[in-house]
Amino acid sequence: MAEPDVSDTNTALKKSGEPGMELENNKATSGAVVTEAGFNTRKLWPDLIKLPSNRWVYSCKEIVDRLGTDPKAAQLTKKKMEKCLMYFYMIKKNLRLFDHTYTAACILFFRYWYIYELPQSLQDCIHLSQAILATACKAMENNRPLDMYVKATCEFMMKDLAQQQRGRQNMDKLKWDVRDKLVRYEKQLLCQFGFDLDLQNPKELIEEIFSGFYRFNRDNIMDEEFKKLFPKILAEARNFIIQAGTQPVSLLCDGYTFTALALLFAGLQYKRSTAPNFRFPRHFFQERFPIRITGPMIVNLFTDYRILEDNFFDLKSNKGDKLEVTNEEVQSLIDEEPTDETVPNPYDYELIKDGVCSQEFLDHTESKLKELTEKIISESLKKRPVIDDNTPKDDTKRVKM
Amino acid sequence: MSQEGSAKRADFKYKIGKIKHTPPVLKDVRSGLEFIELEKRDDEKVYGVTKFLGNYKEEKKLGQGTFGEVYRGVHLATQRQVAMKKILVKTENDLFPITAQREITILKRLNHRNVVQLIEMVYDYPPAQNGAAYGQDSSQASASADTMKSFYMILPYMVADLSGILHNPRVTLEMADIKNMMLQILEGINYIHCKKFMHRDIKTANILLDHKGILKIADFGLARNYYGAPPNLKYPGGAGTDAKYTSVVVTRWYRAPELVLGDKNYTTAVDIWGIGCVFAEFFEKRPILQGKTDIDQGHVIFKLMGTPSDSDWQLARYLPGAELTRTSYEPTYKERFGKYLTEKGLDLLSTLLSLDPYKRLTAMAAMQHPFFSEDPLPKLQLTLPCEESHETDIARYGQEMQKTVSNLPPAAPSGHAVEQSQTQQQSSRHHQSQPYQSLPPQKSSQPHPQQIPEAAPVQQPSQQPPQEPSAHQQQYSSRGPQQHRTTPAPTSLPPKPKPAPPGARYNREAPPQNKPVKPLTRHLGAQYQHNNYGNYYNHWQGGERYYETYNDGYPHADRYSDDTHYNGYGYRSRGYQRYDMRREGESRYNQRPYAPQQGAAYRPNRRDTYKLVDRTGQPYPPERVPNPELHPSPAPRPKRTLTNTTQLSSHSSAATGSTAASGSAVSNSSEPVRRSSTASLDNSESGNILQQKPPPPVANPLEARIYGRDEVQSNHPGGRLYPRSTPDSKNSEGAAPSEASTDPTKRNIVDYY
Repeated sequence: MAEPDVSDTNTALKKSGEPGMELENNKATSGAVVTEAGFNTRKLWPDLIKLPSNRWVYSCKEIVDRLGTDPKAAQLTKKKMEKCLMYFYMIKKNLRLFDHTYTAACILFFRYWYIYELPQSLQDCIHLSQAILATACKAMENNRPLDMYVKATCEFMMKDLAQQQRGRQNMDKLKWDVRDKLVRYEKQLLCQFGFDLDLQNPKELIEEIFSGFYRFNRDNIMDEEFKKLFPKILAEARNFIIQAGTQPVSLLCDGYTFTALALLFAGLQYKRSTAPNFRFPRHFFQERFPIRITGPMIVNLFTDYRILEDNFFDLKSNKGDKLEVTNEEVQSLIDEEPTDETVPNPYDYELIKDGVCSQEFLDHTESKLKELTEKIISESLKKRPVIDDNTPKDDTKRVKM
Repeated sequence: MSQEGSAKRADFKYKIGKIKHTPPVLKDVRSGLEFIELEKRDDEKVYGVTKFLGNYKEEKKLGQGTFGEVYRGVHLATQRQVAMKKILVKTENDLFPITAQREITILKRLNHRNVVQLIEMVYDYPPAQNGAAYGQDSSQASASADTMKSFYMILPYMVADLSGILHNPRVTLEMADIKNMMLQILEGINYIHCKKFMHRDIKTANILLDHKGILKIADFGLARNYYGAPPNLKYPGGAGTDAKYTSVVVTRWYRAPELVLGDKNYTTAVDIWGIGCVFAEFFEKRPILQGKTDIDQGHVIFKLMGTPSDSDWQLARYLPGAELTRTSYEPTYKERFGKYLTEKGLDLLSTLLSLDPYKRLTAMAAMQHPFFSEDPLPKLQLTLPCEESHETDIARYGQEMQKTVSNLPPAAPSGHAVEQSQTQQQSSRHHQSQPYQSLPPQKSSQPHPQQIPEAAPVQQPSQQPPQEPSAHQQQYSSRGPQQHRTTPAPTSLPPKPKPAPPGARYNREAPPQNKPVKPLTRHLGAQYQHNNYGNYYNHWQGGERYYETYNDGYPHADRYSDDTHYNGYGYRSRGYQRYDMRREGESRYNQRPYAPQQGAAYRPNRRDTYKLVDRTGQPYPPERVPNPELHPSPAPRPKRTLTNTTQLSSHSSAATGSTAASGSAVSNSSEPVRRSSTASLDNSESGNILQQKPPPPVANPLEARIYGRDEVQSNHPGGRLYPRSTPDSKNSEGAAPSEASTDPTKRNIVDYY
């Protein structure tokens, strides 16, 4: 009965501009489309709703221009940004947060700055950063209770105050103020971000792309030598992501590109320092990333990164000259198919929905399950030793009880 | 001239003002799915959060309760109906709930025809206030004097949910329909699992249907991501990963056994158990595992699927709730569902409801089960529903079914009954203003529910399977034959929440304890508080999520305990642990690490509760009963049945065998009380004891002593009935804890493991 009654509707399908799509004529003047059960299909929704996506990636010029033309104002903005980034780092240490929570906070912070500008006062910037960090913690499943953020933020703020001022500062009052600001800014932030918190955090992506599942199902055919070497490259790439996250590189590209950039940087350093013949396996990026990696694209990204370093923060972790790369160098590092076709997403649901996986992976899961079972059993026996009902009980003791 | 003028006017009629452009419906040729593409608004920098004014128009409030408020409205850009679900924040002065943030971000990441979509969020004042802007009655606008802005989730309006469909007397389900729906649910959950999320609240009320018969999994209020690999044909998602999540998730009746036993290393298999429950619910039209308490849920599960042996589920006896595995129930699912299902169907059911989560089918494996390839094949397109059917309509269906038997003589008047019927009238009056009136006219020619042919496509049993009558069923049956139901009573409703706990009120929004407060929903009629069966059913999509007034730990969101890496800081997440920062300063951080205080109270530190408590079998020994008329001794049972508890005391009774054999009264004896109670049980028929057959393998004696586990064993040797759940029981719902439950020495029922 729910089958739409299409007899009285103008259902002539017209080809729309987009390939692979057809337009169902939906003139407002045509009669209501009522199903047998009396449902008006005009009032209800079709199978899927395509929602607008937000733009979070900008060109290098756009990012640098966002600092403004006034050098004083730009300097002030950078000072505020540095303070906020320092705040993230300190609170990450203080609250023992994950690296990827720190990365997520940085990504959110740069997005906010680019779209909305930072607040005028440094104090408000800290309050904003606090809300950004709390949101990042929740998004990364690394949450802490509100009071812990408040305490850590107050400590951070108190450090900045001079000794005399510190004595005058009413700590309790500050805490309540910080708490209220956190709640207010968090709400504001969620609205301003439109709850678009799918950050494509490169620190998370790199773990996911090279997780156990893919190690057994996809990477098992990799060259043995590369398999041995790869953990080192992976470690270097992780460092790159954390360090590059402090500069607004996350505004330059999406998460997958950032991750690929990190791997390429790590590979490049290895090639330059240790093994001049090093090269990523054939189709390494094509099989693992839903983006096409080309030499010029990578060179541009490294160059942009260098420009950002020059324009933003002077940090110890800046890569500097290491980012000087030529197209030939990149080409000698990768072995990808130069195609113009769109790259299929290797993480598409259609590819894994049937659940077919390698026997090695199943064996690996089984062994992990056994380990987990043994662990649970041993923990359980420590807590609650199993009493065998059949064993004769010591009656004397029972009487004493 | 006048003709020209009128022609111009007609032209004007359509041309002046803004020309509204509604986005067209497009069709993806590859997938064959229709879709609509929304556009970003020009005045918004980021799409995702907007306001009501100019974007949405409220039509009607669909429901209000502990879960919050839900409105039906119109998305003005497309002129399509939406549901607007308010997110309730526990306290205004707190962070945005992580459960709500998860729900929103997860929904934003999912895009599948069998998963409901989040259109966007609204941050605004309640729509009733905004309604004034649309020319609505100002009194209506001022009715909800909520001055705070709230977040609203904007979801596409769905015409039905599975719970409503199953209770709708005008909907008949054929096996081909059921197969179609099962495949859709499995496809939806497989997508969710492959995207590395667990739903953790699968139930019929959370499976919605659109007007084209497409099922959509909804309510991700308890969902979260999981760690580890996605599922495959053999193992569920997250298998073998040492990640711990809170086990107090999923609505109790749909809770998987590993959750009931307190396992924290669970996987996506918890959702598959829920789907198994939904599958069986298609046939019985009510939730199949209706545990009264969290612990009772374990018994109900084992009564259906059998108590697991070591080979069935190795890990069961090492989990926190392992005590439950010391029962010895035989599986009964074949007898219960054999009349509806073929061998293959039963096999699918038993593997979806496999006790060991690692032996349970994964969604992708279930879709390949031979049950779906045997006749009748699944329908290609579902031809449901015939009308709007929501969970909130269930009570109406009950009323309708009662009317069908109104030709029977009315019930004998009595005070209590009159009150009840008045309540029913009131609620039925209210229901008449419900969407029932807006049914399409052709539906009025639907066969009267009583006229629905007996030979329904899915074979219905002529007689209900023998089941332990639940409390409300007993209450119902006592009303007389005229109230006999032709359809099951609306038992498929979530358990009624507990009342607010006594004591200090930490939640500033909770009603004060010292004066009686009328419920906030009183103006909506009785059915918005409790229905006639004592249930609380106005859950539109899920239970109490963000606003947990009730101190019952159900279903708690895992705000912090899910953090597998978190172990360094002592904190508690509950409101009752809130403190005054001004006065207590740093003491917040000196607290012990958070330990769940409620819910399935598996407390390892409550060692004393493992002890057998020696107690008399009855409140007063017969000879000491002060007034036998006021305290009649239990009626002697006709036949002696050997119970677990008899076994429990077999050592002592063997020692005092002569006492028992001689049949002497123990009233004057100075024997220990326990022995006297054992002997006083059946002194009249003690001669038969030794002639009895050896006892069958029985359940755990402690278990029997505590719970009176099954019908045979329900009588204590002292003749005292130990109900599974009494009002005094801490786990029983709807009753304030009494002295007996707070004082462990006086407690009759050991609730903890």
